[in-house]
Amino acid sequence: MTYWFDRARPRRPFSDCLPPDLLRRNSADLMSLPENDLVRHHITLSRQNLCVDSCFYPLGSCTMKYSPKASEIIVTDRGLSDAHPWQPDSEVQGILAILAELQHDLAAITGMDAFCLYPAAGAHGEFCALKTARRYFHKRGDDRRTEVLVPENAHGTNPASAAMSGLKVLVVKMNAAGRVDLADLRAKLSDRTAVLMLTNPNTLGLFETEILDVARAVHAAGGLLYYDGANLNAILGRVRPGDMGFDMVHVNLHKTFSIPHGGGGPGAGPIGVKKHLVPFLPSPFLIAGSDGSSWSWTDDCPDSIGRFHGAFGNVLNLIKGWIYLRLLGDEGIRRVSLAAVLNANYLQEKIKPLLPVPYSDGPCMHEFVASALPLKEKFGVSAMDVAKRILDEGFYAPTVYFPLLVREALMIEPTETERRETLDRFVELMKTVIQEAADNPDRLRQAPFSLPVRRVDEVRAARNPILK
Amino acid sequence: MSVPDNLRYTKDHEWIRVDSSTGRVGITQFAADQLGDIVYVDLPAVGIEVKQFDVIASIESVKAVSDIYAPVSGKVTVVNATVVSKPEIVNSDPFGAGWMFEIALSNPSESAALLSPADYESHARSHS
Amino acid sequence: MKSAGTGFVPHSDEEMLSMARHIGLDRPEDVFSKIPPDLLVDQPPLGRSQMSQDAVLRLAAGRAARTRLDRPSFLGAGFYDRFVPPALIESILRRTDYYSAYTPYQAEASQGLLRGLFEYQQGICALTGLDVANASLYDGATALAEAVLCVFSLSDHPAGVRDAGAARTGGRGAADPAGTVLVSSAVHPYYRAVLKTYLADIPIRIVEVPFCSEAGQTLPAAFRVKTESPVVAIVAQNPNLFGIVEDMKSIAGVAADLGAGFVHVFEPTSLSILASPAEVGADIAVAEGQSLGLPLYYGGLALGVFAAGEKYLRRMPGRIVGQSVDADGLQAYCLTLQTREQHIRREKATSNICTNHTLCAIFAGAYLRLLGFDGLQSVVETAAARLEQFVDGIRDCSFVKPLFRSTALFEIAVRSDKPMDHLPVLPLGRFYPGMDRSYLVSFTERRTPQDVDWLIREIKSL
Repeated sequence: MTYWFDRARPRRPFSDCLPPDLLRRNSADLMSLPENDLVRHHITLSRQNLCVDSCFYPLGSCTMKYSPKASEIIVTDRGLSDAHPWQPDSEVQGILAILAELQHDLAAITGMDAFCLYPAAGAHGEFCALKTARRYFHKRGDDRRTEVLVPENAHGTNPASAAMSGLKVLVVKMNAAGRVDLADLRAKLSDRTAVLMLTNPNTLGLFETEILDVARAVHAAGGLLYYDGANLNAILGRVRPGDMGFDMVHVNLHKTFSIPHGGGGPGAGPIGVKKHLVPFLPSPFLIAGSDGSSWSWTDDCPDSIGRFHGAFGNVLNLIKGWIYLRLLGDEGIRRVSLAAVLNANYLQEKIKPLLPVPYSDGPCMHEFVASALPLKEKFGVSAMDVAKRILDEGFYAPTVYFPLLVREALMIEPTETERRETLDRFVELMKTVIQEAADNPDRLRQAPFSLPVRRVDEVRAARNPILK
Repeated sequence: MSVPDNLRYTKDHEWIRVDSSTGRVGITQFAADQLGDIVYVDLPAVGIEVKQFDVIASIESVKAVSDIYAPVSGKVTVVNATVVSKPEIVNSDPFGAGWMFEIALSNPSESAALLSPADYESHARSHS
Repeated sequence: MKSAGTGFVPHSDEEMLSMARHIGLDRPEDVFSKIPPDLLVDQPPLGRSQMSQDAVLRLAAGRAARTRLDRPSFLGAGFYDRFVPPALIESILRRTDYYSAYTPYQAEASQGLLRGLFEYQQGICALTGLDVANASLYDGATALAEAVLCVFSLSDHPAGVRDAGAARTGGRGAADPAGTVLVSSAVHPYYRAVLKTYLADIPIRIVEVPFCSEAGQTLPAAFRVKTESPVVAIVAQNPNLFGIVEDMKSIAGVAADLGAGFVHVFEPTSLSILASPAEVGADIAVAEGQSLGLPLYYGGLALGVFAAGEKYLRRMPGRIVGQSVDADGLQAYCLTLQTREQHIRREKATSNICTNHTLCAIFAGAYLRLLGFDGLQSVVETAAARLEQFVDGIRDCSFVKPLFRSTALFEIAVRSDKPMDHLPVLPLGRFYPGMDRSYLVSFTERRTPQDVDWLIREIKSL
């Protein structure tokens, strides 16, 4: 039965070595299946998902771009897959070189002085950066700084990360143009301000044109400026957060840097900081040998916030990010942001006649937010209904109900890896669905029809949780 | 929309029915409609003491969670287990069977300062 | 200039120009017109050209070739050289319908992911005996930190109740703790370090409880220490860092006496032999899930396993999959109880976690189904057999002895008078100052009798 490896048994049974209280009393039913059937099961299940490799995925704020298969192939190499994290540094120089080079690349792209690759996801990176900032202030004797400013349309991870860092959240309003309200920001800045967390372009897909003024205001108050890198794709290779005045950044390898999303993870959310924050980054640090061509981990980081991850971060994804950056080079990086923003603008121009785009004031960046509110008001059809109907037609739906600032929001981000023909087909689909909202609203309200299941009763799932 | 006129109301859409020094508290139809299908109500522990407008409970739909504030100061005496086992009752009968808890008022004059039915109605209308 | 395909952008230059003109722009670059020109960088961001796929693959292969793999590995301590079932690589890890899909917020388009995660939750609950498991966190170390935060947010202490955000900030500094967590120092040092980092800015004090240096176990009585603030949680690991089986039931008893939550760090395969977290009375159980058949990747394909008793359900971190029905009454799955999470509860969420380790969790859930309970037992038994072979083999070696007298399951700490740092074992001095001549020797089902003989010979020849 156990034919995956050669089975053995110890001479002394465990019951001889351990008292009964320490041994498991009842076996567990692990719903075992023979290999053939388990493979069938998962192949069947996998076919019940829509994935980027099978359809267009215009999910705003997620940057669902194509994941290069070169990354998927090379990582099966034993030298990567079999490396144990506790092997001596001398035995894993190739991997350490990859990590060091990735740190260097990410710092160059974002205009930071150093990078830390431990955070396993964007939210993890935010948390890491905030703790690093706290330690920085603590070292300066500035322990009064316990407030984090977050824009009102920020992603939920921003305030949650602040709370986990023991910091109080203050919300900064947006102005009528959908950008940070400078006056409100100035009113909320004080000597208790630790950090302002921003993404640029923001969650409405708009470039924060006053960013230099924002940075000046935050720094004048003695605070730090943090860049949520979720929207980096729009400015990749063209604008560096460091030049905009940001002191810290996180990047999402599973967004901007093409790592596949994994159905929800694993991702990777490395953080970068400017010089003044480097000593406080998590330990251990990766340092170069005196010959410049060898690498080692050091725990000699007296001001570090300490360990932040059980090993060295999501190394598999870090390696994939390294591969992507080599495939891109300088030519590729700038083409990415150009095509990402061009594709978004192309779609915006074609969607505008169909649905309002409330905060549009000229070209958008890599994404834009349309509103299905007219459909709701006229035909009783919500953004969610529109999304479900889109799924029916073999396209993934845009992000819905985020940012909250826009009612019945549909956030659309095509990314740069989509052909014009795909974008045109999406527009045709939107036209069809919107017309259907008028002619046959029930078809949207009851969608989807063609997927493995009809609309799932999420209310029932929450009222009577069945979790196993 | 009309609201029962034997109740007092808060700006945060709680109602309270005061009988001498006991108050029964729930949320209004307006609030329930805004939340959508209620999936969970997190009630206070019996015996806890609160000040007026303290967070005392919370209520959830699939996509949102809202705090519920004590309309008056006092001690919680009874909670309505039905809204925990059947949260949908808050949607269907928020002023009746969907009540949430009862509170022994420590300062009965506080309820007089709450919103009248008419004032609450215009407040709710301006927020819809 | 540059042809289509650069940066995986399908457009040619002509196409981009045409699209730009179509929407009323002169050139594609005009889409950046709103950006203050001072901010636009002109110099090449990376300072190097794009590489062909062939060239990158060769470069990466060269890097990979520098990993030393010419000897059997006896490294463990949380990450184990497991046999990675090819069936799961092919049907899950390399299956694009799983790995290139998004988080299953749109349930109807993600039933495969949701069902895979649900089965993982089922498997973890069966293995641990606990009521609920989430759909994964990042790794074992951060899962432990999240568990302590979860216990704290539910504790009876006023600062811990309901509004977790306020509790954490509440004007209190670390000098004025609202609660204490007692942690055995036989818990993996990196887990303790990550926990310390996570708790640094909130009012929970960590007190380390020393293990018994003879037994290598943490004696339950050692947890009865006087603390300044109420003990909110107790943390112990089984098997502990030294591979030794702890008396978790008695430790749980102490936790119950103190009114503290008991957080049990476990190694997944060992639960086929050892008393489960539920059997010993644990409140929350966490583990590094790489041990469930995932490839090592230098610790970089980890999996944070998290399971808990029912009472923690509403304050549990992470995504959870629930079973429901669709509009036709057919069984269907969806993410549920999302109001716990950051995208809804924001600063009041127990955790900020968003992206988790879905693909790894689906894999781990499948590993449990593939091996079944008996298969898991065989993983542990085979490793234990190799450990036995090793202990027998070094018995007549005068300078190497087991460090502790208690029973070790599949990894064992030994003390050596001669340095063994050049051998593929783990120097414990790296984790515990003063344990310089001690080493952790770990066995897995992949170590053959010949591997073990080789190690014995290498040691004896020192």
